[in-house]
Amino acid sequence: MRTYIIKRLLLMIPTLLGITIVTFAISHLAPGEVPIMAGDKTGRLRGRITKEQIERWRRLNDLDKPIHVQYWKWVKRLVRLDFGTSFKDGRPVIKKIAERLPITMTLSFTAMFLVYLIAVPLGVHSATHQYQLSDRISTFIIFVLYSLPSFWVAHMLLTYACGGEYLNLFPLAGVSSPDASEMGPLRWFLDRVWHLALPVLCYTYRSLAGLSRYARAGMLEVLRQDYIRTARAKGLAERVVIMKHAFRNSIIPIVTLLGGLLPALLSASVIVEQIFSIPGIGRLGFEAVLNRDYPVIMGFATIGATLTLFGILISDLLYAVVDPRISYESGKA
Amino acid sequence: MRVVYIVIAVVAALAVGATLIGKHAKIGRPDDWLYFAAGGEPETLNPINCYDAGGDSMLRLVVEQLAKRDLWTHEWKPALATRWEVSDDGLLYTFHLRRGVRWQDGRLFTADDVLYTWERINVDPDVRTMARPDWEDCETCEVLDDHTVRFRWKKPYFLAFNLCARLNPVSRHAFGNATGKAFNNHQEQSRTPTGTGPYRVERWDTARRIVLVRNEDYWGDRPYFKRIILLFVSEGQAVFQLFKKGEVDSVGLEPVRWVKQTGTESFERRFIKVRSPSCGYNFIAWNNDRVWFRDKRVRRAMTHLVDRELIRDTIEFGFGYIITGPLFPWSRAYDRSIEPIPYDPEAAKRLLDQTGWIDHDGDGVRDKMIDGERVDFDFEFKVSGTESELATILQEEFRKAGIRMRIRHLEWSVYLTHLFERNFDATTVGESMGPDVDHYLMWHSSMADAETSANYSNFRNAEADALIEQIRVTLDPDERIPLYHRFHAIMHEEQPFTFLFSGENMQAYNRRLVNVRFAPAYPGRDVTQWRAVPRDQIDSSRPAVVVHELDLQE
Repeated sequence: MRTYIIKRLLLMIPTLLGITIVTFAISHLAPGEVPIMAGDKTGRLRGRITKEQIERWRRLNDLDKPIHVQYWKWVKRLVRLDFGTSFKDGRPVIKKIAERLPITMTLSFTAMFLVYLIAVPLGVHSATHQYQLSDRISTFIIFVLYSLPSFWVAHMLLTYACGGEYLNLFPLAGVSSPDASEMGPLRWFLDRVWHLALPVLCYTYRSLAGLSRYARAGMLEVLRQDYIRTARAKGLAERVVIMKHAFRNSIIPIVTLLGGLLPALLSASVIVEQIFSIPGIGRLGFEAVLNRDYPVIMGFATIGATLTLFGILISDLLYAVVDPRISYESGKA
Repeated sequence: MRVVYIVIAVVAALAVGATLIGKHAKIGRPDDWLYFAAGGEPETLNPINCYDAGGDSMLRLVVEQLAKRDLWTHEWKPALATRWEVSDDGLLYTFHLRRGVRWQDGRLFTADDVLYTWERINVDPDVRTMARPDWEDCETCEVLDDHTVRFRWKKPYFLAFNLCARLNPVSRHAFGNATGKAFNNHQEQSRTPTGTGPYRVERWDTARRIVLVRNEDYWGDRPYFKRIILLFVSEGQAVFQLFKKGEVDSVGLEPVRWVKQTGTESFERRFIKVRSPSCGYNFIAWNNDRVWFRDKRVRRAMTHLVDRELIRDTIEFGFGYIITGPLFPWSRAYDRSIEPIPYDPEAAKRLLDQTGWIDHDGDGVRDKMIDGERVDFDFEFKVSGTESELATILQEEFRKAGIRMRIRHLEWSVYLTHLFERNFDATTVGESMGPDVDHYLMWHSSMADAETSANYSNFRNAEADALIEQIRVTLDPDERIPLYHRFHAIMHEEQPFTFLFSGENMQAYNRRLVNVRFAPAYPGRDVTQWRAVPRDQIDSSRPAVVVHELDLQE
């Protein structure tokens, strides 16, 4: 197991390098100049900056060098865990990401937890009640949810559940109340939950469909196995058959999905954080792309890729945990 | 399975509980705290290179200028300088600085700080600033004594005084005498700049808010509000809803909101809407170097095809004043005797026929032989963001006249590059203008030859060049008026742009605020004059809609 993990970790290095090369190339080759003070976003242009100033600024930030030289410089800095400084405000990229990552992670992991919590039982229920009314209803609802785009749902929730004209149940923006720092721990926690309820909802509902379908399919397949018939034949209660014999075997494919869910949630964070004004890493990455803030784009991509690679590794390891037949010991697999 | 149900129940209970508690939470919101919201976060609050509108509105309360311009009368009033002298030849500007003014860290403000600031803009090439081209002809800044500075200009420039007076000094010691890149990226001063103004930056929570707190040691009048908070809310819809919930005190309105979302009785009971002239205007720029738009008759024909009244009524909801030139229509520089070119497709077709743009091959698109080649009147219109509605209207109108216009959407940063390099056939943009405007960067032919510039239409006209240069050296405002009028007439004759509208500044504010006024000149408001009344003393009899008129021509 240990050699396997080490091997996987070593493999991550070339993978990560590959990802960064592609990202670096795409972001630098995409059209659009770094809009240093070129105009504000309202469309009123106040930019009267001379070509000379732009060139000087490009030189200052190595943008005049060939792209492979820029990349090499970037890698050399990365080895020292230096992601550079943002073009936008000159602050270290690592600091910008560090202050925004926790909130995105909180959202993603909460959403992931809820997705599993709801989708797996739902899938199992659908499988054990295949083609019955409850299966059809839950399938229908889940597909309806799946087809609603999250930016639309987020806007609807903002308009109808966050006050102004209609229901005033949730806050409109941010992750905590202005006076959160003066609250006791319980109040603070509840305030957080109150602020994050709608964003988490937007993260969660779409992933339900895929996962519950996998859970359902996995369960159905297991239920057709001989050993399930045997278990039933020897007179075990249906509960025990499902929960003890079938369930553990049916969740193997679901565990693998864990690795893929994290990047999906990270990319969803771009939209959801923008709409709910959440100071997370998705909004940071989105703004960086719009501003051609290359150091931040690269930092965002590298951290996102690292997290994804670890997510995949963890789900592979979990395989061995849930399925004793799978082993990563060399020679025995 | 039972565990799962329990967890679900707990989560649901948590959500309901948090909602109930949150809803009834009394958020600390004293009367003397003022809330604004902005869509984007400024990059920096460094006073020399903050160009974000929201950030700038905060910064103006923290740092001060040598003199302050009255937003309504446009007169200059003492600020950090108590008085000033201008030499008769308009080359020397001497400012006498207020004594005893302290930076917010306790040090005394002196002439040396003015010099430090001036040097960053003028002789420190690595400092990022857009102001440099304006100062080009300013030769030196001399410190005569601790409280006197003198700016020397190489040649007279009618905006020289404005530039000197508008200079907002930064503190040399707070910046640690930094230069170049270290000045741009000075971590502390970029986040919590040290000023002399009525407020100081208490904190900047990245991506959340900037909080200003009143500077109790301020040399001047103490403003009413103790704290001013700028919230960053990335979603425009949410900003407006925050306003309706009373969590933001004042908000800008788009025409659609003014007309459709703010007219209810319950809205008017709680808020007041204000409309005032705005310095913003927009236009369609024709690239005068492209084959189609070289001839001014073609450009006039294009203007004939733009139904500005229809566009105003549909897209702008009836707001906006149709302009005929790049001058502030409520100032004396604008010649109102010039009538806008009317919407007249027949006149346009006649003009196009005259210039040889005729549909020879019957394919529905006009064409012309140019240098032995048949060229179709088929051009590209570049847009970014919200202008696509306008583009669609134009496209249809041009099609009927035998002109094919293709619309190309570009992302903002790509669009800007194309715009400044004038890599487009036609496009539409907004700009802003004030009562005194220097047309050099936008209309002088030397700018048409620059690699990047704001002469969007590549306009070249010898008489206009001469007028622009003459306006720059004419210090008497009255003498500038006829020059501006002649320039305006050339713009109308040449039609390098199809000028569209001078917009309106639309705002709404909470009735708890009093003494609120909005002005056309940037930044449009002076919140140090605003006050608030306790929520139980709100006067609901004040009119719900206010229209500020402004006419400097009278």
